[in-house]
Amino acid sequence: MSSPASGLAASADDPRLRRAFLEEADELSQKLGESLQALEADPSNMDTVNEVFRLTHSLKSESAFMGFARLSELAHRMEDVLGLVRSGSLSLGRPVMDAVFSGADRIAETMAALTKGGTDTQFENGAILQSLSAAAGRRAPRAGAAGPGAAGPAAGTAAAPTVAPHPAAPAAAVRTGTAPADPGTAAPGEALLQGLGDFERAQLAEARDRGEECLRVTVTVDDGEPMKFPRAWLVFAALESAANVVRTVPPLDGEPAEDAAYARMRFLLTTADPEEVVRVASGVDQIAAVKVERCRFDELLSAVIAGAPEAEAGAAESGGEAGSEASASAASAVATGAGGETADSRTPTPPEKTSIRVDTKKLDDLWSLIADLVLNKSRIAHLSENLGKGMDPEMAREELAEAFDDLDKISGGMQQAMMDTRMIPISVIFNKFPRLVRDLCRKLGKSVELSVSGEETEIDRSIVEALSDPLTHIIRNSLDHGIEFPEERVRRGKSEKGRVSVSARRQGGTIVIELSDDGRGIDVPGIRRKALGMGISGAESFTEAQLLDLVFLPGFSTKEVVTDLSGRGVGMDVVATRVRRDLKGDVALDTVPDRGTRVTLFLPLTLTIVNALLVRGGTQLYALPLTEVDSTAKLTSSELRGEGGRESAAWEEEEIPVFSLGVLFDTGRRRSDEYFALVLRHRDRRAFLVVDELIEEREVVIKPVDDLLNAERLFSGVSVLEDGRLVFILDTSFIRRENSDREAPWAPAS
Amino acid sequence: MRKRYVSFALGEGRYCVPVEQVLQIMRLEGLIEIPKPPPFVLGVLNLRGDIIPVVSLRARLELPREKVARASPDPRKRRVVITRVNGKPYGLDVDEVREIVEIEDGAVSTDSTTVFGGRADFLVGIARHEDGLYLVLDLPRVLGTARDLPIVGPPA
Repeated sequence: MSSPASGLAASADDPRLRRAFLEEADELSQKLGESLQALEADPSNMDTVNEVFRLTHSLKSESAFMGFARLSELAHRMEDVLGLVRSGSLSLGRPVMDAVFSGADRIAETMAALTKGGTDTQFENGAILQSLSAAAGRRAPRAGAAGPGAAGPAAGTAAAPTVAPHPAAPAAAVRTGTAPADPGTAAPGEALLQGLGDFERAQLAEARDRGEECLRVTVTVDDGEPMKFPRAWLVFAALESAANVVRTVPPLDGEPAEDAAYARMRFLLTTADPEEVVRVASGVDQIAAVKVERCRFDELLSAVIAGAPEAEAGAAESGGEAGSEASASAASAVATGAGGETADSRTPTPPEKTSIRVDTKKLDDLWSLIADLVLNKSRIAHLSENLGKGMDPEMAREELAEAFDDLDKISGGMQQAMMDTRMIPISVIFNKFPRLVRDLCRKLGKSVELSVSGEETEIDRSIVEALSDPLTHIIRNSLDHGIEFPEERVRRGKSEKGRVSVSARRQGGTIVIELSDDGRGIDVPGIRRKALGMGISGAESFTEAQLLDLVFLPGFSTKEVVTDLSGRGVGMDVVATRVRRDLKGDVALDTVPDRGTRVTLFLPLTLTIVNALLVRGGTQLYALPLTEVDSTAKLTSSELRGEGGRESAAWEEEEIPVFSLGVLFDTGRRRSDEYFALVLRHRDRRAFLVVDELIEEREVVIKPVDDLLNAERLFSGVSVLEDGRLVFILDTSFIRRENSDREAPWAPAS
Repeated sequence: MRKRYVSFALGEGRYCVPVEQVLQIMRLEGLIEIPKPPPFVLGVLNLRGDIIPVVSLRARLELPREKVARASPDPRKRRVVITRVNGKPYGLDVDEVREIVEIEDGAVSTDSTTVFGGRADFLVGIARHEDGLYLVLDLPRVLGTARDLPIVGPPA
């Protein structure tokens, strides 16, 4: 970055300087993230250590130069830690790595805020600085991060360790309400237990099936501790070592709340070893009380958890532990209440965002089109004025035609520009994966290398938002059930490190996302046995693709069914519903035993406008998305084989079923020697669809169609034409169904 | 508490729905046929770009034929009541729209609905009013599909 002539002090208010700084620092921050990933993959690589050191150093100096003191301090502390690593006096263990990662994350967040015109002072970095200092204090290797005393004499943790009771000698301050024989006492209806998302529920269900227990842990930070958040975080880290924390209230990773809100933390977790949970939670300093209660999986997983207000649950609870709670000041109690409230509004699945960020380039394009539009308007006004003054009608006609041509171009351009504002790169989801994989690996004790490609692929914003959960789910499944433990991999002659790759690409009007792993694969014969056991008719003759598709059926992909057959875990039906029904896309599985599994998602570019082929059936118009039409064809009656709703005909040396709009919609089919037909494609399946007339190819704007009108799910939407006529957009998945047996989606096509 | 309801006639019966569920009342004009509708859906209306399913309450409530036949409705009075349920608009085809009535919550009885000859499960209850009895419709149920039927209890 260029130094200004005036010397030391630069002002963050100088827009040019600021821009130059932002560009440079943003790049440094990105490189830092990448280098850290590399470092994690190979902690012994001193070149990478040096690179990370150099990057933090540059970030420190540049942000100090610009007067961003907090950013600079953060980078400085990271530089210190890496300096120790570089000199060999600190080893890059898990806690150190985590602290550095959280520092890098915060730097990236700060950069994002600065780019949007914010300041670095809006970030409270205390907790991160503390964990960095704590990491720097771990010069000598220690055993067991959660062991009593591990969080002890760390540099920077100012508070003197006072009460650190060992569970073997329970001190009064530690309330361990757990007794393994004690049945569930946790009252449902508090924020911690409400509004569990698909993913959280799936985690719980899996834990239940693994025979773990579900606990609600309430931790009260000592009132004398000035900084609550770092304590809360330490407790969280300790719990994570002994359990799978499903939810935290207030969340530690969301928008930072008032520090006081973290005075009382609630954790919903699952564990195989409740005793250990109590032990590690009590091992953290400056904790006034730990309360552990059993929760019942079935209550949590039941569809509706009655909404008893949080305040009530809170009150009942503090009443029950009068002893130590009484010593907590009123201020702390108030803070807890406030924390509960904010958590309440934050923890349920956030609604779709109503405000969006748009690349200014896209807005500029739109703006210049609007300028053209305004010009065009005055041109038409002028024309109308001249016509009033007796302009030659022929000339006027020509000019009007010209003006219309322009208008046509402008409106087309505006439509495209608006569409573009809806498109965002899929990296907004993919970027979360390195962290997700890293955290899961740590939790599961597995080792995985993640490769990501095609993250620049753009896709409709609403689709991106709806995709985040399913993709996370699939990756989690890969790590949970696909990738083997390192020893097992070695035994099978594989590399110790598993591979998971995620890619996105555009293929015509479709976005294809692939998630694959080199794990153990799915036991297809096992699925067949299970299908037969469940009485699914025809399962003995299913193809592999048909068997794998069963995994997407609700009730089939339960853990009991699939995991012990070494396949996918729970929730693939949730993924399939989201992708197929909500996003009008498709999902497919393929697998090779012992070699791995691949999940492929096919998604439309956008949900609102599709290129479609308009056809007529009886008096109704229908549209078929072009992505699902292979070809149009003429069928003669002599080519048809079979009869009554089960006809078929040859197409490219394959015998495929023949459907007709007349039969599908009960309007009858006229007999003829020759029929117009489309060749439809739905994944690996093709079929003819006989129509009464092929009308045209055009764009249609899709509106959702009410369930009341779509009992058989034949439509994926409806569109209104300019003249008010309705066009129903067909959901071509009907070609996969058996004509005679629509109720059973898994029945094989004849 | 007194609540306001829009009342309408269907055959011999008088029905009502809470005013806040009603968006507008219009003549049945411009009905568009749709392919393979459920037996109780007449078609759709295109109302400023919104595609609104129009439900025949007669068919949906499965009213006994003779009760309906005795009163022959005046086609000039036929109306569509546009309602909003679960954020989505639906039209109800009725014989005649009457007036706004005020009904005490306590006047709605839920235990006498079995005397109703049609789908009693589509009623919140039967309301006593100085003008006579009104059948209070449970619109989320009437317009829900069997699968994702929202469970709505009677008013407390």
